[in-house]
Amino acid sequence: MNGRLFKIGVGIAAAIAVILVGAQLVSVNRMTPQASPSVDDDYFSGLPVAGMTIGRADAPVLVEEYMDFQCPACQAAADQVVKPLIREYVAQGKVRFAYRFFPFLGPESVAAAKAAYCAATQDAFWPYQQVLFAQKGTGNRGAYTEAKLVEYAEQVGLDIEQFKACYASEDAAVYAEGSYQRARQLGIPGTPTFFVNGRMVSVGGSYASLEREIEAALGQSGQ
Amino acid sequence: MSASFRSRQRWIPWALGLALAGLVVSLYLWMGKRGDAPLVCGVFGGCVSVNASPYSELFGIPVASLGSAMYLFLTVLAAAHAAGGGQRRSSPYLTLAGFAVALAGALFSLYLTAIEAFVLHAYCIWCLVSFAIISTLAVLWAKGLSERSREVEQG
Repeated sequence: MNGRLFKIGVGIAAAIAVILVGAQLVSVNRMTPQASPSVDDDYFSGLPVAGMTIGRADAPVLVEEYMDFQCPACQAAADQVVKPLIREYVAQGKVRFAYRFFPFLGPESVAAAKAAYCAATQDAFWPYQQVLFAQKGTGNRGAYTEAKLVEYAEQVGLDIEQFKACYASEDAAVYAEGSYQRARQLGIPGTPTFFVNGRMVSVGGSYASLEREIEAALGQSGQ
Repeated sequence: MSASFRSRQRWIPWALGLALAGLVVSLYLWMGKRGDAPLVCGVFGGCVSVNASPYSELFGIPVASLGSAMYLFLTVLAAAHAAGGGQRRSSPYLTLAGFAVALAGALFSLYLTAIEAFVLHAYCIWCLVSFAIISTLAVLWAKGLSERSREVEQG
């Protein structure tokens, strides 16, 4: 009896665990195709852009996202949060949105941040970030090596010599390190972390939650 | 009720307390996922990344909500054992259910911890706390099942 009940319990537990793991793998695979934006998508074209910021300078609400290009949640948020945010609020002139870097997931996170900074110096951050997110690189496995980053720069038509010089410069390294330190000082708990008008908000990866925060901020600004 | 019987029931209050603690942690993670509570991540600093990743959901259902349901079930089961004056009057199948659910939770939690380590490269302190709680609960329910089976054998 003793051994039999125990074996039944272990069998049931193993079956439940296998079903849960299998279901989750299927669930994640189903989400993956939507997890990063298509590079053909021009959701940001025609909007005022300044470096990593998009939207009208006089928009009443500023939304900032601290992110790491290697963070899967940031890759999902690029499609499921940032894209609708730009379409529904930034394009209406209600919100100005800015990406901030928190390259905390290893050397390729730092490399991607440096490269994105260099793309911004050529006024091409927005198409470049789209290509970076589309790689869905994680775990420093080669998606954001210097050679790959140069390749992506070619894809979006950057001046490659200028890009390489920028990437090797101290400016890019200082920018990436400064971004990291600033995020640490702000007590960013992880990525993606959103700020609305300078206030850290807890939205997880949910666009609906961010929308609530934006509506509240718009209400306070009388919009 | 013999002293040895009472000593064998000591795992029940622990199972009840740990299930309640696990329920609180899961509800907190669920609220963080919904954006209803700010997540305090401590030194690990990755709980937001983990809780917002595609691995924090199962067909759109937050894993934290499934965890809450599991801990609620284990809380009710442990309370039923405690209210019944120990296992002697409860069905061995209730103890079996507690053991199976706790072990399944520990195995799934082990898989999620491996995802944190090898896929996300970020750790969520609250998920690790939950992993420790459910693993301990699996051991406690295994102890309970073993004792219950022995009692059934002895009639």
